Amino acid sequence: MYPLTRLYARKISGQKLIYIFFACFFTASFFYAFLMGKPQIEEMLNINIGIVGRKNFPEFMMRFYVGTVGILFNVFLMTLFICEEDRNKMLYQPLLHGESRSRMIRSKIDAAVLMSVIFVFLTAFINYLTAFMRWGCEIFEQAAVIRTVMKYLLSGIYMSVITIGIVALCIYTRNTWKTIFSAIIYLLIDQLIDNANIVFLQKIWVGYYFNRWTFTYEYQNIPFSELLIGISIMVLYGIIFFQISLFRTKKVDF
Amino acid sequence: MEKIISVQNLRKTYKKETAVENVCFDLIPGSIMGLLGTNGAGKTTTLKMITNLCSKDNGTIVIDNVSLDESPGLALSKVGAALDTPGFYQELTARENIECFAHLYENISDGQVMELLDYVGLKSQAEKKVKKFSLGMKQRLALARAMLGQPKLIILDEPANGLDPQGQMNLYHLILDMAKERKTTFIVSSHQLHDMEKLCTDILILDKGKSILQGKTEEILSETTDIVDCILEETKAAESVLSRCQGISLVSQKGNQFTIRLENICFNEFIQKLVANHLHICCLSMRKHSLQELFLKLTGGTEPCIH
Repeated sequence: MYPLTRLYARKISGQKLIYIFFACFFTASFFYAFLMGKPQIEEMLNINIGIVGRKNFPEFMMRFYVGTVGILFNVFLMTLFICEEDRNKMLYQPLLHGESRSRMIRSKIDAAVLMSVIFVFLTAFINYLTAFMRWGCEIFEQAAVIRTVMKYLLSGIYMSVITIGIVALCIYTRNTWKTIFSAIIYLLIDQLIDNANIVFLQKIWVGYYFNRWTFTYEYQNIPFSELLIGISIMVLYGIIFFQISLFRTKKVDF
Repeated sequence: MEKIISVQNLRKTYKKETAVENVCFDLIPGSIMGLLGTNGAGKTTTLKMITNLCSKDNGTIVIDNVSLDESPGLALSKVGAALDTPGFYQELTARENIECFAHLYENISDGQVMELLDYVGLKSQAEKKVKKFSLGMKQRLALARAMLGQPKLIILDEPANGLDPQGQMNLYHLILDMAKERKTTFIVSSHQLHDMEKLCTDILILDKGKSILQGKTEEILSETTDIVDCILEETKAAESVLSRCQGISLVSQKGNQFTIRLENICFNEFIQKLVANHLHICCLSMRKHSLQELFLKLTGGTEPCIH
């Protein structure tokens, strides 16, 4: 791994926020798993253990992470990683040690994407662990495991693209609150587009395919054609976000 | 002669405001250039353009025969810099902070990191978290970071900020030693004009983004007009005579102590005028302008008059 990428990955992994977040996530996952089966709780949370429990529980909790919570968590982390570094005059430090601007932002993106993928797998591990603690080996039904792992991999792709987008946003705004506000706007637009019947807009919207994978094909296998077009759109968005980050970093005056 | 840095026609504008205009200078190895100017004169912008942190509208910068425009990475690999208020990873120790950036270089061992910390007087504080450091300690740590990779050119933006007199002296000795022994070149922006006069081999004074004076410190100060410090017995009469006297200007007055600039007359003529006007001279000495006086003269400031 490139030294600067390693430095940034270490910097992200050193954030206390991560440990607090995953402790909370484990607690939430644990309580969800163990509260299921109690009718009043199921009614309150509007869930049905018959559907979301046992082998489906990891997939159910994946949506909980990737949908909104995970994106906001990544936004907070990236603002600490980029906007706050910029404010503390640390963002440009590698440039004073012979690193180029493009190398710096590539390292930032590499580290951010690496960590976001690790977080997705960490949530998978936590969700399988709590599900195992609640239901034991019942959760390991081969077809369900393959399907769920596949969906976690797709979540990793989606979260990587979103993370590159957040990096681009941080580099553009160079302001923590503006970035957080913009991310909230993104989540609202994502909901709006998902619920609206504007087919053309939906087809080119980065979040649409992930929503389809998780809601339309909830606890089902995703058709290959859906996968192909969804991944292609996401890769395209990833490239666009990457180029925006690169362009902005080359132009910015520190 | 070999130049470590050559800056030509540097220019930067922010919207309609010109921050830096036509700044040019060359430095040879081992020289120390003082970059002086009032707040907002364009010092930091100039330094940021040299370190490529800020784009320039015009001009060329060549560092150790490498153009900054063509090979920024290679050119800046020869530069170390500590700009603005130094930023660090607050949760890490001094050693860890330096190590973070030491990993960006090849062949910098942990031992060398400790040597650097020792060099700037922070060896005993190496395991202390930076968030507990005073501003002066951060300045020294910033210098240690700027020294990573043994750069040929070190750029320091107001490095004496937050340092106590002892710390300032240590810093200046450090700079002088490095310039002398390692032939490291320094560009130091500062408001400590008395210290810059003693420290710097070269001076560049900026005012409103323009270079208003530059050259070798010795030459600049030797070419200035003479300054006379005198104590005259009768203050009122002395004020009256001096205000009428042609060819001089009053720089400052503290009671009956006068500092006078000789503009168009020589020292002997000045004394003759005092004697002719029956002024009793208690004490009289002549010297050249100090850098501070020259700076204030050029930038339109005045010395404070403390009675």
